[in-house]
Amino acid sequence: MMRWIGVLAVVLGGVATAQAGQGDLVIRAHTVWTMTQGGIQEGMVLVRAGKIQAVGKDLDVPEDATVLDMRQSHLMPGLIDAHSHLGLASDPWAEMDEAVFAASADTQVLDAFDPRNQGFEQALRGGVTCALMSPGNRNPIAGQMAVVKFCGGAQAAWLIKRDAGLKFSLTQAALRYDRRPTSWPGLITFIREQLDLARQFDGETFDPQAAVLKRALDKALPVFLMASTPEELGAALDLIRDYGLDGRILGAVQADEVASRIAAQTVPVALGPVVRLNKDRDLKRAGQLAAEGVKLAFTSGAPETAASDLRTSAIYAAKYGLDRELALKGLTLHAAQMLGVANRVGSIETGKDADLVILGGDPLELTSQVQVVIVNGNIVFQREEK
Amino acid sequence: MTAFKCFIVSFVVICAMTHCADAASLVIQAGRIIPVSGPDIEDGVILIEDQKIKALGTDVVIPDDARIIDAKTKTVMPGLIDAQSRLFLLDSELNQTSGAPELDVLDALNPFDEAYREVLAQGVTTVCVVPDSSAMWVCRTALLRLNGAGSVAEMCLKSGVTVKATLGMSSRSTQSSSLERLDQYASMREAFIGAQRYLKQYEKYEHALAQYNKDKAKQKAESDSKAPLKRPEEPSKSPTHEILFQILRKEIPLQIEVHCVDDIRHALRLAHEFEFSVILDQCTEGYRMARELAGHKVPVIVGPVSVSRMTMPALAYDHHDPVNAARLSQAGIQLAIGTCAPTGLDSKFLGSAAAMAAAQGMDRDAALRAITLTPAQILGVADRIGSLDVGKDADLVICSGDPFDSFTRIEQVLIQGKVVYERKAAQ
Repeated sequence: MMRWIGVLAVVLGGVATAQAGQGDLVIRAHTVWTMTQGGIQEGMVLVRAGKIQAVGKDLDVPEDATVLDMRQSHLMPGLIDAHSHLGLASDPWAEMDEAVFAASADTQVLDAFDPRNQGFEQALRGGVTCALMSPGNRNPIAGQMAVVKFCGGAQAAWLIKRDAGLKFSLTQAALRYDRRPTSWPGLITFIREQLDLARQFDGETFDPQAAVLKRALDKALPVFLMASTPEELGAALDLIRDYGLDGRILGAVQADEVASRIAAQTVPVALGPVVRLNKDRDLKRAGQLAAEGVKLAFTSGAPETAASDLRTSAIYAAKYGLDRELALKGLTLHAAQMLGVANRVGSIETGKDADLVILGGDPLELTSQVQVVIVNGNIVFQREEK
Repeated sequence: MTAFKCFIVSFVVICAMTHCADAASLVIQAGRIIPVSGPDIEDGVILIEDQKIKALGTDVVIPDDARIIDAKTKTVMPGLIDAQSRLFLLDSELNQTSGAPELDVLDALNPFDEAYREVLAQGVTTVCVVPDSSAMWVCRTALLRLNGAGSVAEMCLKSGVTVKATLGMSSRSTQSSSLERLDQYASMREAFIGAQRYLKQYEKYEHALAQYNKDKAKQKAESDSKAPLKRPEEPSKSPTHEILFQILRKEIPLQIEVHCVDDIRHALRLAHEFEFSVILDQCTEGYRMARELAGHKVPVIVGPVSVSRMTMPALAYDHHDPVNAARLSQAGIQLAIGTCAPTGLDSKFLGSAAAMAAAQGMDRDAALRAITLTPAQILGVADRIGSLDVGKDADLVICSGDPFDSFTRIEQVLIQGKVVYERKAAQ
């Protein structure tokens, strides 16, 4: 009866495995959670050249296709982490943020990204295939974010979106004793000043800082504001309103009284990390925000919490009142929409990237284990039972 | 005087009333009983009298005057036991660097901490309170019931459960070096050598004292007063040595928090050399040496299963793997799962921790046992709690279905036959 579960080596670097190859791949599953057309019982997915070619119940299996018969298992799109720092630095807390310049709008997180980072294995083990890579919280204007996949290889394989957004930090962490801002009101004033200056930017002079902020003001670049307490959230909502930003909120775990305001301004929220919360009051937040009509995604803030625990966050949110379908969409489709990459990932639909997760059971059960992870049609993680 | 009489009378009345209340039988009609100690029972009945399980099975005779809880569509299981909780500890007690073996956690508790309510609502009825300290010697631990008594004495199921110690934890924020960890091993070993020396001296003294008493009695009987006998002098003892004696005499187990493989080996080596009962605590890298560990036949309290809820030294963080509990269990190690998390509230995730261990390949029955019967056995209270068996305390959980299902609701929780939690309809 003893079952040894071994983890096969993760194949990074976009190298096709024997199973996937260049030929077609057909996956059969107990349920295919499409995210756009609900769950298909005894469904099938046909993968061709890294993309989803067809989804349905009784698809024709091409003669030379490799068939992955997982009829006991559930299939869902690769999970998307709406805020992560994986692979950015060997010591993310020490090296991630500029220490001197509080305004780092022109820094790009992509310049620090290591596409072969060891930490990805953990993310993949949790079924997380894609993430919004983000600078830390220590600068009010933190830098530009990118959406990547944890598959390594050539940049074309892992980079989905370079200009995913500009991050602002409205948290305590952005205050420092040795440079402006040093106080909470100073922080808000600082951000407003920078935005006001950028408004006057004419494009003639060399001002990389203002050039980026100008794009944010023109809604050409989405803005992600890290804010957790009601005060921080209130300030974030004011900034979005006053400057007409294409804003999203990161964190929001203490959104109590602000929930209806977030809904009224229709600002999407990347909530989390939920897995760190422990008060019933806070755990119910996802359900409350969704009830107000707020669109939700989930974040790990990895390595703040384990990248592999992203699904756990959604499970806790659902256990404490979030609609199950919204919990699943928060991990996939809604996250993809929030990050502006829904044309590529986030659902199992014809034409989208074949980024898929196979689980031993219902995706919202803690006891269901990730068995196989596929990115761009290649198996990048497989758990083997010995 | 009158006041005193009044007090006595009312005391007797209250006692009688309490007794009456306890004497009445309570019957739970369950759709499914998971006793943990044996196979599940479908459509069973649990009879509770005097705070204890009087009978359980499918053919229990229901007394006429029994109060009945209808749980015919529900599942009943034992109350969960968190073998590593911070509940009832003040926040200021967390992340400490001090401690001593003679300290008793009972003296540091805040019995009014309301956090227990949310933990109880998730089916946890007993917690072993262990402070979060990186000191080599932390303190003696205690098992507390979440009965809301508001008094440590009434909540305490057992004190002096273990002595908590740590190895290899000298630096929390930065990585400790293997030399640093070796140094700690040497320090603990030195402490035991000292204690052993004292123990020998003390046993010699006890022996001499017995001889003295015998001689004295003999002298008295013979009423022969020759040379006056000299009473042997008791060796001086320190409170620390008192406790270390108890450990060496196997009266109390030593629970050693270890993370790295070398720390685990150090703990096992000490237990072997000084022949004390050891419980390995957290045992983060245990999965890397599961077979070796199994050979030592020592119990393990593993946790946290999920890396996201923990405060651990960076060293342990690097090699933490959620598969740990599953691997140790598969190797046949006696294993309890504790939440081992930064705050008391985190004890509410005990069931989730076991479910996550099951996801990693731990047998589901073993995972449930790891949060019920096994911690009771490891912590020496299996005669009282941990499973649904005749004679044990009626600590049980009534839930809507499979304990590991994410959406199973906890309906009612009983401690010693008393309903201490009931789910509100709106929840």
